Amino acid sequence: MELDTTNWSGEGTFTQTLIDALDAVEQVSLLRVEDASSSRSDVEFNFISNELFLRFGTRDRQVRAKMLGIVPVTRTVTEPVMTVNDLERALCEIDEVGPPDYADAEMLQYLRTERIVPPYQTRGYKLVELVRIYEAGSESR
Amino acid sequence: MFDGRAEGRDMVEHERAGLGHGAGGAVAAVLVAAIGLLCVVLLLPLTASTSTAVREIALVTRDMAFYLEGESEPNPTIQLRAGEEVRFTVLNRDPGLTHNLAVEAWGLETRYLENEASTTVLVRAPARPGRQVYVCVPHDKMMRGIIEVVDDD
Repeated sequence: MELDTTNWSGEGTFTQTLIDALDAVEQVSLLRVEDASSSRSDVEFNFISNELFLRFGTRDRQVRAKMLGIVPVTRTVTEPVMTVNDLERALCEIDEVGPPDYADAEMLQYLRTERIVPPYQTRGYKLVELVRIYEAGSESR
Repeated sequence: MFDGRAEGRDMVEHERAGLGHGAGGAVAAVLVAAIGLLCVVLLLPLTASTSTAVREIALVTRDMAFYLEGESEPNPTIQLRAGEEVRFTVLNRDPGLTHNLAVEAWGLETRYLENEASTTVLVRAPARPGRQVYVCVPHDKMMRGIIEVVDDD
C-alpha cells in the first residue's frame, strides 16, 4: 500500500491504529492521511479530526455487449476490488477498530473519546478523535 | 307589425348603454387604483419603520461545532439587539451525531436532531444587554458559544 502522510501532523492514536489496519487490507492500494480543518482545542477538550482518503486496487472484467445492438462484442471493464461497505466489514473484524459510529456508501466515521488527566491534575480534559475514511475522489464532509 | 327602424334604434341604445357602463367601470377602476397607490405610498414608510421584523439566524452543526451558515468560525459569538425577535434555525450536518441548541439562561432547549434534520425556534432577546451561553447539550464542552445582547441603539 502506498501511504501519503505529508498533510498529517501525526496526531491521533486511533488514526494510527486505522492506518495500520488498512495497511493489512490488501485491496487498499493507496492511503492519504490529512488533518481536517475542524481540529481545535480548548481548556476542557482537544478535538482531533483526521481524514483518510483511500483508493482500492482494481481488476479487469470482460463484459459481453452488442455494438449497435446487433454485433456481439466483448468489452473490458475496470472496477475496484472492494467497496467502502466491504471495507467496513473488513475493519469490523479487527478488534482494535470495530464497527464505525457512522457509515454510508461513501464514508466511514469513527469517534473515540477519552478523558485525559495529566499527572498532578484533577480535572484533566476530554480528548475527542474523529476520523473519517473516504474513497479518493469523494468530497470530504 | 314589424318595425325595422324601431328595432334598430333599440339596438343602438343598447350599444350606448353598454358603452356608458364600460366608461363608468374604467373610471371606477382608475379611482380604485389611485386610492390603492395612495395607501401604499402613505403606509410604506410606516411598515419600513416598524421594528417587528424577525431576524433569521441559521446555525449549522458540523464537526462537533456550531457554525453560522456559510461561515467558517466554530462556535461564533452571536450578537443580538436587546428585545430583538430572532428565529434560530438549527440544521445538523454531522453524520452519525445528534445535536441540539440550548440557552439555559432563557430556558430554551430544542429537540435533539439527527443528521440532516433541522428545527426552528422563535425567541425574543432579553430587554437588557448581557451575555448568555449557548450549547449543544450532549456536547456542551465542545459545542459552546456566546450570545451577546447589546443595546438597541
